[in-house]
Amino acid sequence: MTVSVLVVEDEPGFLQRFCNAIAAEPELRLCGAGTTVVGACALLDTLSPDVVLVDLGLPDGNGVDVIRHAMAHGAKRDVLVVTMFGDDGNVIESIRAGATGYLLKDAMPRDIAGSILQVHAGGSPISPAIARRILQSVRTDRNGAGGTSAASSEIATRPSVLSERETQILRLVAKGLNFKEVGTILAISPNTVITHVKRIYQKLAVHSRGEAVYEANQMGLL
Amino acid sequence: MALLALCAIAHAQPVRPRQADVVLSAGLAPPPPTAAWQRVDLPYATRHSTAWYRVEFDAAAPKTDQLWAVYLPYLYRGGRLFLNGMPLASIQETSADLVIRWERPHLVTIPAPSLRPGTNQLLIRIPATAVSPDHMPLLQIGPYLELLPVYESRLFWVGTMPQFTVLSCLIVGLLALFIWWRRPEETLYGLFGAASVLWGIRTLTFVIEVLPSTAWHAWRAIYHGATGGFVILMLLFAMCLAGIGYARLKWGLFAYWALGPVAYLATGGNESMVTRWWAGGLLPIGFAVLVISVRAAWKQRTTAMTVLSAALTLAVFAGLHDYLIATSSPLIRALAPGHVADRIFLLHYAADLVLVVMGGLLSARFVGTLQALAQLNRTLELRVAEREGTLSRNYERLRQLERRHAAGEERQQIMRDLHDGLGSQLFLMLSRAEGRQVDQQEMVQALRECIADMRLTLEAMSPESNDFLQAWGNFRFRWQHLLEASGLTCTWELDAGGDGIDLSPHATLQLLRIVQEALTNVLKHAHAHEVAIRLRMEERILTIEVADDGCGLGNANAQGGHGLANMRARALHLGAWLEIADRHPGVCVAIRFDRGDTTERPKLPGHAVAMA
Repeated sequence: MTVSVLVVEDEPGFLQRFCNAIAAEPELRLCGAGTTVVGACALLDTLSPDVVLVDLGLPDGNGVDVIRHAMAHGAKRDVLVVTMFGDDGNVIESIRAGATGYLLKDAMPRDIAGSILQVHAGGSPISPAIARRILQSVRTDRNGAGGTSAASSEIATRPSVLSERETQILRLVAKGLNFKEVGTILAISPNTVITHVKRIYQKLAVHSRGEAVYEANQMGLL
Repeated sequence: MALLALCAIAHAQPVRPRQADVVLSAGLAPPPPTAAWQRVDLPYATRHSTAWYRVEFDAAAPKTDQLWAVYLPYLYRGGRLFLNGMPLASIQETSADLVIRWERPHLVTIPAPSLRPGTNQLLIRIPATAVSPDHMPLLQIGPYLELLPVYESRLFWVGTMPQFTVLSCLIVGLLALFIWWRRPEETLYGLFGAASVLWGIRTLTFVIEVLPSTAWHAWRAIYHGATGGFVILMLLFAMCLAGIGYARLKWGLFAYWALGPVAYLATGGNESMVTRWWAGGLLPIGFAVLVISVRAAWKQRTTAMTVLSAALTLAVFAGLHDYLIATSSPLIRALAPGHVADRIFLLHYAADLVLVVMGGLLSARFVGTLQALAQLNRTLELRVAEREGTLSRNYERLRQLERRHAAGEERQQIMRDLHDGLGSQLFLMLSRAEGRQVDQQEMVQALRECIADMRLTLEAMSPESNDFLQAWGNFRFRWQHLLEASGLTCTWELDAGGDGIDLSPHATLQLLRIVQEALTNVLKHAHAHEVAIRLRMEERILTIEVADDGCGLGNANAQGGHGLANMRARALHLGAWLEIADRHPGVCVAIRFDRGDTTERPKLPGHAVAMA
């Protein structure tokens, strides 16, 4: 059972590179390639791929919209966002939209396939910068929700968003530790760490959807 | 019939005999009816001789249980009363031991049995005095309960009022003097306080009705002194308020003031001389007070002066009124005969009024001063706040300038870094690619290095904070991946306590570049299996060590190869201590950096040291 992959990338060089990397991996099957938001959404509807590779800077819009479309209606698939450095704010945006992984633009061909398979298998990558951003954004959410909450010194996140263990993991990752080291410190297996990370991503996406619903309610849209 | 009698009693009005018979006789018993009685109109006064007055009145069937009384509005020197030949009362008279001057009215009750139906005869003895006329008042005889209110009303005005005046003058005056004592520059308070106290002392003359004769002269001297002092202080007060200087005049006035009591004592209590000559001299002074205040009121048109001059004018009129009453002037007799008989003197009420006005003016000034003070405070506060605002704005501007300056410096350094590092590398590769002097492998390698350098720069310049550990985390994450991908076992040790390490982006970038260079060397040249990277923060010294178990430096160090010269140059530039030690096996690169106080630029002696 191969994993079907849809690539959304407007730059021909990178598109070629990704397509080649996927084609070279027997476990992966390239099911389509889009270069625009509109085209990608149409392809998503017809092809329903297992994994979507999305570049954010598309000619007719933001790739985040593609991610939202891909994850709409609780679809069970993985989205990897293509990023230059793996630490810019867009990655967080993408995660909030539903992405569970990212792919560096200068990744080696075998790393491309490896990353796709890893994410599909439930192993989301995370960089220190992303971990920091997630911690920050959760903290900001908390402060925003808490209003005048004076408990900013208390870094623990809102229970409804992240668990204590998840926060611990993010803090260690932010220091530059890899999953193995994090697992050693927390006395859990690296696989558990990976599962946690993916859950963090999913929680963020769900949470942000919840926020969206809340906001829509507030605005009288629903 | 009984009803009629009741009505008559109910309507029994006090009788007011308008006329009396008088005979001059010093005897203690009433003179016989055969004496040389002379009919006179009441009130009447004799001079220097004891007089007996005979008054006849009808007691129209007084009821036995109804108490009657004789009401005498004044009987200054006391006297004796006889009714129908029987002694009725004796009001204390001046004797060898006591000097008496009753200010109060007298209400002498008549026991019912001694009153006859029909005509009754009342005899009053009024003793002679040396100085003033001996007055026989217009008296009233009637039911006690009818006369009591009349008596009490007069008692209030001539008895209670002076007592009240004395007390309030002393209290208010002492308060004003206290203020003056604490703040001597407030002359007005001093003058007012002294005047008030003196007036209080003077008014004692209406309160002390019985005085031992031994104290008489002393008391009169005090009395004159208080009266004169009051008038003189009033003049000074008016001048002060009108803004007229009185430095020299003051001493003249004080001398005149002292003259009165001294002359009185010196002449052994020559009352008439002191009154005529010295007290007479006070009149022009009082007049001057009036003129000055009216003139000042006219000129200044201030409420204070206007009110004061009005009060003083009233006082002058009161004085005039008293003079007319005292002399029983025909003018006032013609205008208000009843009033003359009452002998109510107004001057001391007017003086009370003047004092009240003065006190009021001073209170107004006091309140005004307080308000001015509050206003001043507000103005000051406002100015201070304004200054504070300016200062903080300046400070903020300065800080912004400093920040902009620092940011500018930082930016310049990073620009230089980009120019020298990434820029020159890219240009070099470009020229070589154009000259077809570079194979694809080399090109990929060079570009990857460029990207790595760019990543490093971005990590170091992370806008989130100046925490070196944050950049270190990113660096570690990236390099761990690379090193492990190359089959190296790496251990990272971090010993930096709980806090972050505050470093400028430039220093962070330089340090990471040195470590990156060291790790690149390990990857490319060392053929190592393991690499250990340790970061330690002790006090202000940041130490980073990269130790591998590879083949060592060989002769790379001597030739300055493997980017070692580059590392040294960076360390030198940064002011860091760099040690590259060949340890057989492997190499240990150690960077020590004194980050100094976070505000200072780090400086370390020796800068960069290389060891073989």
